Amino acid sequence: MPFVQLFRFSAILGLAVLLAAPAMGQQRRVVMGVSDAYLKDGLDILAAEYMELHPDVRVSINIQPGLGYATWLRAAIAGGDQAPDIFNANFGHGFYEAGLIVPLNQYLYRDNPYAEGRWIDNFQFEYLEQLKVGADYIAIPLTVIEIGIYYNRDILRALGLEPPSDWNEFMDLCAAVRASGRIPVAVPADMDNYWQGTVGWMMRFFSDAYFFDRSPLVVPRPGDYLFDPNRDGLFVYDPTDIHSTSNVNMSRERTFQAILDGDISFDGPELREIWTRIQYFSRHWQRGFHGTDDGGANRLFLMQQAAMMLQTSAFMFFLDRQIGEMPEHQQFDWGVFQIPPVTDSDLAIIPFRGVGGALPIWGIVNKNREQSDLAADFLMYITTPRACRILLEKALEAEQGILGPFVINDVPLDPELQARFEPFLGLGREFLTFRGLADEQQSSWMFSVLAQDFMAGARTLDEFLEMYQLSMVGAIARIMRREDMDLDPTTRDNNEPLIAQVLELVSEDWRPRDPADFIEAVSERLRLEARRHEPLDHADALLLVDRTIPVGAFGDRAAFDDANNRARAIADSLGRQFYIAVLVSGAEPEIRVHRFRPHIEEVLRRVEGRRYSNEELRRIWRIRR
Amino acid sequence: MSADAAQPAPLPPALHKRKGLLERMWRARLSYLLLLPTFALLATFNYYPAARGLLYAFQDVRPGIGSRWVGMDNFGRMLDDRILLGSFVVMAIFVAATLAKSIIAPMAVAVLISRLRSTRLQYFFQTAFLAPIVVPGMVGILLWRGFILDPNSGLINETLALFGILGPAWLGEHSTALMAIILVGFPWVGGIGFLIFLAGLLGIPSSLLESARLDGAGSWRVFWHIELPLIIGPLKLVMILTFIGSIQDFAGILVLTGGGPGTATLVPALHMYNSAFRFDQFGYGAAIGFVLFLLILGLTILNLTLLKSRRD
Repeated sequence: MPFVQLFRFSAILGLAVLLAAPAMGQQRRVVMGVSDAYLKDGLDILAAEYMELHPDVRVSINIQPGLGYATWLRAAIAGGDQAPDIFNANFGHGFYEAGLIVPLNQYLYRDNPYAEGRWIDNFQFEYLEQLKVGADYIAIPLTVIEIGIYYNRDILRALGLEPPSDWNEFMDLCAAVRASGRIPVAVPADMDNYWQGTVGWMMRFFSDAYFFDRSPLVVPRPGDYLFDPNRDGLFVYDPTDIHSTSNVNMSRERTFQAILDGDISFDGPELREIWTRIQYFSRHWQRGFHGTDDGGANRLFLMQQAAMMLQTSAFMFFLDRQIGEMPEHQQFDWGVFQIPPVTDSDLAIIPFRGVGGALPIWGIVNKNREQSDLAADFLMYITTPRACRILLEKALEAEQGILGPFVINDVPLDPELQARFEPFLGLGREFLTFRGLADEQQSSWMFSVLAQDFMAGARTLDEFLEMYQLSMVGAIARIMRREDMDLDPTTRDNNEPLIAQVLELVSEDWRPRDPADFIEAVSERLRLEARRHEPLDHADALLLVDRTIPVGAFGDRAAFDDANNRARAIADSLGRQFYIAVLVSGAEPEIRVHRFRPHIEEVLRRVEGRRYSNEELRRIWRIRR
Repeated sequence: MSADAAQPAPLPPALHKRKGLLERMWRARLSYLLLLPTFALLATFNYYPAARGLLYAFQDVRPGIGSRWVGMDNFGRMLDDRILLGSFVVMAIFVAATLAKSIIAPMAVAVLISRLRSTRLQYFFQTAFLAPIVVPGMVGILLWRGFILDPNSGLINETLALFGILGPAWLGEHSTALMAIILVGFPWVGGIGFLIFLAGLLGIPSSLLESARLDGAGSWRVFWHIELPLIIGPLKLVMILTFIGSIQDFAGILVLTGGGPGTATLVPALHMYNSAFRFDQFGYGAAIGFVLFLLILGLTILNLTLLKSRRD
């Protein structure tokens, strides 16, 4: 009978799968899902070496396209198991706050088993420090990237022009090139480039220079949970020192507060001047710049129709390759100058600083302890000086180039290559920049839409800035709601990481039946999460048990009430930072860790449904304070 | 009475029918068994994600963290979202233009080819118009974006420049961006619609056409009274497929303009994609998707009914 055979076949197949499963389960797996295609050859070699060293580990190097990486990453993380272990942390805005990224401190201070000394000693200090949020290192850097203005030396020489020393000279230079019939600057200005490309960079270096004097408002102060006495404690506002904000933290709470108080505003004189300048500058861009993508702009520069363009340090390798393939009579000589500062305005506090920094930066997705350990071990393996020399050599061999100099000690570049990177170095680094709020995607998209409308003449400057201001305040509300944060800089509010961590315990078949065990385990987690706080005393437990729990799970009613009252009293005395609710239904306990949010409730209730105004929000804050 | 009692009570007709169905199903059990994997796969990969999406529309979904039931909030928010409402206008223009694109030119060319006397020539033109299908759609779109519509070095503007005409910025201007997107693929013949129309036209018995001509009907009357009524079925199919496709598809717009400049080319499907995958608002994205689903369903039914009644 045919379907008896079918059943037999299925049974055999099923058995085979069952038998194979445990064997497959033995293999541990590290997935490096990054967009750094130019490192693929080197990473493959290092992965193969690593697997040989650890036969029980399988490493996959999964190269994703840079465009759309952020979307891919978020979708992968939403898909649970599909998430990579190692990822490009510059795309992970909000991950730290949401507990999706593993702080690397615990690994950095350990000896790197594959190199000499501690892992942290492999890196150049200042670049690693840039990757700190509060006390936590959230990623490790490999190289640096920066932007500059590439210019066609032949064209400028023929016109008798020199690289400019300030913004007005730059505009004059553009006008002179324009008069010669060429396009002064090729600027890709499609939608993407307003966020992660040329126009986005402009907004960043301009706002950094114009809002520099607001930096004291946002640097953490003693008592703030982010405050680091060795960094923030040493901060002195000094507009003559472009490096003065290099190593300080930025308090999001203080930044948001400054925006809500109107100390940082997006419809004020600063942005008015910035966008008037950018709009004026745009008359020197190619026609129809909103319809030009990166490829189109590059073509204009390569075909010598345009004399200049803003590009990254990595662009020089592309330029070398392209010019090398041209017939000799079409080849040209090029150079790079730094973006010249605005010197004729009181609003521009400092010269333009770098908007690049360490890149690629790699972080670890928070799955579970064992997986983090494994991913960190692989990261240690590929960031030794020896490994990085392999990465460098393979990237150059494949004519892929690198983004900039390595920030791993003892990975020297060829002196000629080092010299080519010089114009990109020593610029300092942006601090307070706004193209959207903290890369909250909806606000950066809204920024792109509004700015494009303005630049195309479809919206006046007033309309643009008024709506931008509103969208930024809306972004504050969204971030606060998404992360359950309040604006008190002394408390770290995100409760998501705690939930994530505790749920992880549950998923590991941990069944809290004994309250002492539970308190111990949760407190341990809290200590890990909130290491900026004084260590939490687990005996005090900060435990506020939800009354819906079947009392039997925690002993008798009196013990339950007693624990509850004690916890509430303790929580009160500590300024009500945490409480923990445990719900037990059947065999599956669900644990929730909350923080008290006395102020945010009121704000969120009002901003719910987007029916708020800037003024209203400010008023709410005044009541609160 | 006794005679009645002796006979077995007849089954109610409904039950009788059901028994017959069950019997037939049992007899064909192997077929059902073999169909099962297909249904299981469909349910897993098509229906489950769709149902899940439907559920998301009523939730506040936080990737990696969890979700919360919010009832109709996501739908309420859509009414306040002026950008979304504006995108429906863009969609209406885009859908209408796509419908025209996929019917007028392909049908005209199909009619012309079907009337060629030489079969060899018919084959030649058929192949010539269909050959571009082998170029992957995305490659076509990128070619249009990079090499045809580029305001400075694109084919169209370079050609116009030869005649001393300064071409528009196409994708780079609010006023021309949507038109430029619609222009992509010009002359819009090579699609599957052309093939469907041609097959329908070639299937019309030549005796019908000849007798009409003998009666003195000109080309236009033959098309209007003979050919068009006879290919109304294929026409309906192409219309519905195009209609559904043009509401759902945002890949082309995403690549060409990302919805810009500003929101000049933003359609609801792209706004849905942005909300869900860029802004991490899966719930809101799903709600937009749900509304689009209802819209497509409703308009497709309307479309079918209207076309049917006209033919009847």
